Amino acid sequence: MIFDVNFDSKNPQSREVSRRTGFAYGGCTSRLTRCAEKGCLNNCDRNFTQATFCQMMVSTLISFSVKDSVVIMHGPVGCGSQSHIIDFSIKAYGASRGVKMEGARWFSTNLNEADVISGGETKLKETILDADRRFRPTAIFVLLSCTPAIIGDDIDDVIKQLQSDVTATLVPLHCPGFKAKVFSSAYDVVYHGILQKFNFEPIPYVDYYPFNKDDKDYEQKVQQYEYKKSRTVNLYNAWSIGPADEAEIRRLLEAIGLNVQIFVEFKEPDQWRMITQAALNVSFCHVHDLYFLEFLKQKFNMPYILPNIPIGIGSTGKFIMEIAEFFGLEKEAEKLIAREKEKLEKALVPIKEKVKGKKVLISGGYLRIGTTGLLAKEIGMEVVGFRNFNYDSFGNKLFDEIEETIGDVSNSISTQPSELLNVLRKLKPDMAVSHPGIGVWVTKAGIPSITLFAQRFPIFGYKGAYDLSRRLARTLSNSNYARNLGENVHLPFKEDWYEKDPYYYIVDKNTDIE
Amino acid sequence: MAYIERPRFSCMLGGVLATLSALPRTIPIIHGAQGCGGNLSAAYSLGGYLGAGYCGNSGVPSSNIGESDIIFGGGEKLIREINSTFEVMDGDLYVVTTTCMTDIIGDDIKGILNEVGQKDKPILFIDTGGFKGNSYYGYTKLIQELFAQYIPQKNTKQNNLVNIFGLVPGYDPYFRGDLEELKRILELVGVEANTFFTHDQTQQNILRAGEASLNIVLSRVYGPEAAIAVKDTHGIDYLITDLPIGNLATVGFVWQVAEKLGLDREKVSKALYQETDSYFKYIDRATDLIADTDFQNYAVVIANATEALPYAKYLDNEIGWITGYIFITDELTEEQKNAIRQVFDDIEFSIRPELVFETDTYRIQQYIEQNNPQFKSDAYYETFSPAFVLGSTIDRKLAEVLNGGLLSISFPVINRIILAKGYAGFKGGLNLLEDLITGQISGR
Repeated sequence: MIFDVNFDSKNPQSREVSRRTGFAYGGCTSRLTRCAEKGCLNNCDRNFTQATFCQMMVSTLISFSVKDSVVIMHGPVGCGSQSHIIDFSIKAYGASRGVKMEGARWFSTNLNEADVISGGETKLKETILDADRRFRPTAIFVLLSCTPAIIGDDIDDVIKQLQSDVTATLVPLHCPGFKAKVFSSAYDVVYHGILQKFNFEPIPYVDYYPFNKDDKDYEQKVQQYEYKKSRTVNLYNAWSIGPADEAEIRRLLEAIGLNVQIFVEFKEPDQWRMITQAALNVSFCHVHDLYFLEFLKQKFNMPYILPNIPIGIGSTGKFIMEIAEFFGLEKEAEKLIAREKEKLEKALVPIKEKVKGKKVLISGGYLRIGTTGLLAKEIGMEVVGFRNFNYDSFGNKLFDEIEETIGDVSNSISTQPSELLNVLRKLKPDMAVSHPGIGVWVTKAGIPSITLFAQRFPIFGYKGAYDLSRRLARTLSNSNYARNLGENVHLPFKEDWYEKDPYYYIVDKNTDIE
Repeated sequence: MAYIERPRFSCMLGGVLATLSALPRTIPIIHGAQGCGGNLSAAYSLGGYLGAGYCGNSGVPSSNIGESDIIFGGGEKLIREINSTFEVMDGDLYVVTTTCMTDIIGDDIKGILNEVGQKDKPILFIDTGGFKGNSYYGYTKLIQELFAQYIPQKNTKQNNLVNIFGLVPGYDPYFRGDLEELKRILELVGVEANTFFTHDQTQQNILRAGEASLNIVLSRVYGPEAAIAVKDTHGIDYLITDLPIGNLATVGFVWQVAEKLGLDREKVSKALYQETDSYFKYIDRATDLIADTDFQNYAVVIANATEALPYAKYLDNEIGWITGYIFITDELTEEQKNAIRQVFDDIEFSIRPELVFETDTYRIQQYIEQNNPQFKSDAYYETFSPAFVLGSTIDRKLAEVLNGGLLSISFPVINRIILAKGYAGFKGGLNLLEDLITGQISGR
């Protein structure tokens, strides 16, 4: 697997460089994984492109989810202007985690034409000082957008100058949209800012009272603490992961005798200092956190493992088992998994009857769509295709498994509705599971779609597997909304586009991959 | 222009994309980075979940330039994108828009369009670097460009044909319902209206805009510039007025139009009488509830420069509420502020509210907390209660502090989805009363 990191650099490289992550591909699973293995997926591009997310937009997600943070969009007023929607989510889903969140507090430096000529650093300074004074936030994330990046604003220098004048920790995020086609590069950018600016070790007398060496129980207390630490696992959440998901995986891991800590969202930066007080780091979804886990390994010698995201019966079992193996708790895990599976399988019987043989197309981030596909297969659906937003060799462990269990089905790297609508005509799925922003196009084509993730719904673990299966069956039980829409709405594509290959505009320079 | 906490608008491109998404069968082509189209569509959608539309959001063709294009120029990419767009996307009008990056690197779009040559459908260009202005400015410029590049000049005008401007899709969240209602009312007095954005409109309505004898601009600041320019180029007279909400304002509005167009007074009187009569038959039967409970509220209106005063006027003149504060959340020039102040001075308020220009959400709440007597500690004081905030969903915290209700009338509207509902005109006035009272009894 290709993974070039340099934690000392000013900002991380985009994933198309650091991991050769691809953003354009059309074909089937086997060639996708082979191409990823060879590191040549990023040789593919398009001659027709449609708008999508950028790494700045994605960078707002963790930034807003840090408890009591403020986010500054350093750029013209449009950059980040979609952020109002985050307000309700972080408040509601903070509350359901037992965390009172302040809501989305953010500024735009509102750069205009004059600033483009004279530079935006002064405005940024004023904004930082006022943000700190008004809200006394824990952290201020400064997001560098395209315009100030091109005109050469030095946000690192501004932050260096101002840090001693403010109470919040100032975090520079180098996330101009044009620098990364692979928008999940944002996660590396945000973690890079976090790992540069915060501590991950507890401070004596602030976070804990050191044991007194003269205490007669000193040795015992140290041993107790070390034992607890050796039985503690850190999990890392993300925007797409809901409170019920965290609770379910916590339940399963606690059932085999582990302590669970969850980072970094919905925590204050001060709480991150407990990160090192664990024996193992595990991502829920390593598309998000691998960069940070690698840092923690290099800096603090903390091991990590990369199981696939725990969606579906098999993937959940493997997730738990991989963690259990690290701690030598395989027997406990085997028992737990067997018990949970038995209960779930019984509950799934009536659902399986309803969804049997129904065709589904799945779009979104590769780990989540892959495991969601495996769940669909487990309950007897036919997965006719996958559409990855981005893809790299870190997905191969999962998609090799998929090739084996589901078959070498249609697979692409695409965020483009043009390709989606074309592929829908060819694959004719009964329904789709789609990343937010994509489902609307599926539904307009007359095909029902449910969202790939939403914090409202449990998706992880056994409880999540049941709930997602139930929602798949429910969606299939009445598709009138999509049917009516499909019959009456006009799509913006020419009729002869549908006769072309969906990947007609993809330029694939890799002729040697067979 | 200073930094802003939680701005209630996006950039020039954001306004143009919102507007293009509401034009019939129109395909934007963005020349810029991949995120502009996606994020700005997500932003305008917060006007009551407006949605992508025919060709918005991830459907918008976008040249998606990267780092090397910034260095070497993005012209070739744009040419390829335009040609592919004409192969794939089915529209009646194509509009190339630029972004901050392509404006900074200085790609020559006009030259590129010459190189691309004639296509089977019209293709326009509008320079929309985000740093050039906000979404309202983008709307105004787009209307101006449509007249300059697309709408033919006509010497003979149709007497009873008008164009309505001033409402920005998404950023005036009820624009569809409002325009439909105003169109309906104008039809009652024999006037046909091109709205550009209601669902009955086609490119023909846009092309026929040059035949209109009047441009009606429902905003003191967003659109007048375009209307004045169009008077010079297309010889169309204009009426700069306010969005009419409720019976009084709408009757006044129709008379303004009637006077400009020289309509038959008797016909207008008759049509208006019927509308007013029907309006009050609804109000009549609402009064059982209203009279039995004290529904007269103190109000705070928080909205953009187009809509704030019309809502405040309705609350005072039409339903007899006490508006304490009007906050206008746009960034405005002194000249624009004066235009607003003049309208404000002309409104006959029972109790004159405070008019405050404030872009920052936090400062709106702070302003009330620092100035209202109820937050000062005397035994007896004039309370601002019962209170109702007509603002954006992000003003919820203020509503909580005032222990009052909240109706989302201004961008961003997140706690309700807006389809055909409008607050303008007769029907809109009834809708507004319905929502203001429902807001106070929904717990029953």
